[in-house]
Amino acid sequence: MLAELGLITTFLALVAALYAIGASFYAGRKHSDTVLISARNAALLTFPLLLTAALALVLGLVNGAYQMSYVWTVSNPGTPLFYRITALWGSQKGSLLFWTLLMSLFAFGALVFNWRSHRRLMPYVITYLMAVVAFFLVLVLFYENPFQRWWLWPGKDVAWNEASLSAQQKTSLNTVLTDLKADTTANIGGTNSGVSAVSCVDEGRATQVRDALTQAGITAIIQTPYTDCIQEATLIPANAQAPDPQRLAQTAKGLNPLLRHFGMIIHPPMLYLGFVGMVIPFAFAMAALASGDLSTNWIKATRRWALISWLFLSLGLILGGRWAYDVLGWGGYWGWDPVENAAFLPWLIGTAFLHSVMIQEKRGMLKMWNMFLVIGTFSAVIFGTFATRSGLIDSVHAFARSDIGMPMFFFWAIITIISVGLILWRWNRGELKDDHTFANILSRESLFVLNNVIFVLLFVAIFWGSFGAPIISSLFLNQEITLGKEYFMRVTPPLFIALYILMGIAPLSAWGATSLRRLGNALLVPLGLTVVLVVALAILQHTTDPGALFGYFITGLAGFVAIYETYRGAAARRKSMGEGWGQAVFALFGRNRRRYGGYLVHLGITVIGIGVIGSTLFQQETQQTLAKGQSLDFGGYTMRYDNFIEAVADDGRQMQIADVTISRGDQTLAHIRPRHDLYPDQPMTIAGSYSTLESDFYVLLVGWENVSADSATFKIYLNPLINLIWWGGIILMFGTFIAAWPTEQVIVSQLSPAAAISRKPLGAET
Amino acid sequence: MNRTHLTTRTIQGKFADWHLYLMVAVIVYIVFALPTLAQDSTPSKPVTADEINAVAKQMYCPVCENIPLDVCPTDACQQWREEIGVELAAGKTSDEIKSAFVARYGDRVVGTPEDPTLRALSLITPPVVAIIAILIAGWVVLRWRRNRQVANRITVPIGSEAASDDDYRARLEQDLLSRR
Repeated sequence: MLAELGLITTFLALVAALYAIGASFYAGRKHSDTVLISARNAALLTFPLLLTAALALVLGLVNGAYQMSYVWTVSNPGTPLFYRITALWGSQKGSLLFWTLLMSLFAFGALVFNWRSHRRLMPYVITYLMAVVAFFLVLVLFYENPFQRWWLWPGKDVAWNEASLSAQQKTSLNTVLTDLKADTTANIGGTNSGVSAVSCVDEGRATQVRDALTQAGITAIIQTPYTDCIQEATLIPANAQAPDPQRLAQTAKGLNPLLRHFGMIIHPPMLYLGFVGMVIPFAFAMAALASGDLSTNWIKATRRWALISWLFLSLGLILGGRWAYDVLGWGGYWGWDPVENAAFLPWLIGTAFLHSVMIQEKRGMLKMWNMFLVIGTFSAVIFGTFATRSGLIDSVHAFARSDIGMPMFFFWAIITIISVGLILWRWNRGELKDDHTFANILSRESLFVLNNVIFVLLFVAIFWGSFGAPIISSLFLNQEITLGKEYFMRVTPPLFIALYILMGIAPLSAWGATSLRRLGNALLVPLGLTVVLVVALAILQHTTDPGALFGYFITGLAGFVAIYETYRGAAARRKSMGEGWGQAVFALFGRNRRRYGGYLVHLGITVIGIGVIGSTLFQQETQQTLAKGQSLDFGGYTMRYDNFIEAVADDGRQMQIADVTISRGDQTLAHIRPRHDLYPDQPMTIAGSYSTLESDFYVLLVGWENVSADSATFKIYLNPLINLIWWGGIILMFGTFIAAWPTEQVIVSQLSPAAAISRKPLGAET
Repeated sequence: MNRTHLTTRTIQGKFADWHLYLMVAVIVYIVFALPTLAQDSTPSKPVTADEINAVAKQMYCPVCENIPLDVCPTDACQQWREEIGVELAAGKTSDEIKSAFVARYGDRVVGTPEDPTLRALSLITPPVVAIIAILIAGWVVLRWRRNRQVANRITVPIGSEAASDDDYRARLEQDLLSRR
């Protein structure tokens, strides 16, 4: 029942999306309001329909409906309720449905909130939004259907000996068998002795195979009577019966152990929200290109959506790092793995867009560039999804073998070609020309352009290392290569340094032109504070490493510029409005959310940067075997191996746990329990760590004596300042939240400029 | 005769003594030198896990995609680490060990290819793109310079967002100055 409900509602969502595409396109061409409203209603309907489908799947997971093959794959009777719910995105099929649901949610929100204010763009917005939703619904229904069920049906096996066949006879037979495999779920196999078999085919197919065998000259054909064959199918096969539920429950696989972690529960939805949210700026940009309304309307409509998506994408990346740190057991949070990089690429282009779009809003410049960036962001989202879900990352050839590889590749190629084509068409017609030209190299717009160039270069360098070089090498040089941390640590640091320098300077520059003198004066106090910070970090970490100190300096400067500018704003309010510090800061953020929220984001990125530098350049590690009671001095701490425990958890996993005491001098700081979990299919190494703002003492249990466990081997990392990364993430989240919060429009256009200035309280939105 | 006999005995005795000394010397040599010889084929000190991990950190096993060898948990990776330990004990350097693995399994086992063509393709492309981008940026700057006179005549329209941004800054500076 649940499977049918999910299947029908998903199918209806596809029908609604297709109708919305056709109707909205017609409405755009014929300027028909009635048809447009009908298209909007159909588009809105996709969300409740997909929500129903997703709820049906969740109910199936919660109730243990193991006849649904997805439920059987990602849960079992021992799976806790919480993980049953999160198993919705625990595997490809469910996560694609969840992805599509979130996309329809964003589409729903954009159509509700932007309907009145951006009516002119709506026909094409609906067309593009629903085209993307419809594509993913096709994937869900026809390639990765989570509502498929297990069925038992009477099939036949046909076996024969082909050892004596000629090459021609074998070719003829293989043609039949290849067609058969393409058409059905039949198992075709052979043995070294030359006996081959086709199993689980229906009577018609069995006859077809038998005829082909006879034609090929094989007479020794063995055909079994009917046997019970199990198959997952969307529609009920002929003469099929449902398998025994108890048997299915006994054999159900359960959720991938790696996904049983808080970070992994939250990380995918955050990342998906970040990914799918980018469809809104993309759809509005495409609508602007298609409709010819190339004013800043599409930017005003999408800025907040882009910020919200960026926030989710940032959170997804940070939570993914935290999950890797806690669960993957390698002492780090970012491995420059192609899957991680695939999520980072849209973030880079999206961040460039968020900066660049301000120039178009305020100066009417970079119109074409912004179009490229917004389309590039969405294109990177689709490419990243394609790369991670199609098997491309495992092997450049694997994606073609994956069911969704080819459709996703073509979809990505088509949207990119159409988008770029539309941009070039409008550009050729002279409709994307800038309103102003750049006046000064030190103007804010120039620095923003430089910032954009660096973001794009980072994108290119990371894309090249993750996908470009491995794919080109494999396709054209027939060599498999891996570009690992070594490559990325060589190529990306100069670009990150440049970005941080710009982050320190650009907020102090003015639109149009900035003098060096003014910039220098504005930098004086932040520079002084940064020097103090660098000295403090040098003393704390006992370092004189010029590279590290330079890194701290440029990241610190960016942060102190943000803090100092906020301080100056609050100080000005205190003076002009007579407010206390708390009230002044609160009012400052409340009245000019975009500016001061942005500063807070910069501060968050600074804190993250300091954490990255500290934990990368000063990480220490060692691997030691300790006897029970033996201690080890490492990184200023003493670690003692106390005891070893073996236990079985409620979910059936076997745990080997080491009791470890961490101390400093005579003071015991913590008792930690690094452990090794053994699930039926997969081992996991869970770290134990003693965390402070200064560092993480991070211990992994990597080996032990099987019987007595009198000695155990530990891998120990000292990760200085690593917790700043998570704190920086929280600051970034607050900053983005403030910047994205809707603001009342202050209308000053009727006032004279002087009156507007005098009446407007400081800190009002600019 | 007696004298001769004595002399012969003395010579024989001296020879016997010399022979004895030689044998003792050989035994002493064997006792002390052989362990030294044996040490030539064994490490002067045992290879530590940290030394193995330092090499393994720079390598990837072809089975576990993109997971560095030092943290890869599979049995295959464990065997590779043990092999690295043996090679280090044999006195091979990190580069020699990596090259030996590359010769057997291809360039995908290291973080940056060792093959000169692949290495150049991998490492030179990003800087080339950066140089092109910088050249384009330089060209744009030159265009700005040419357009500067025109641009300088363009004023920020009052009431525009850029103007309001500048207004904001002006008011901020004004308030801060009045405070002093």
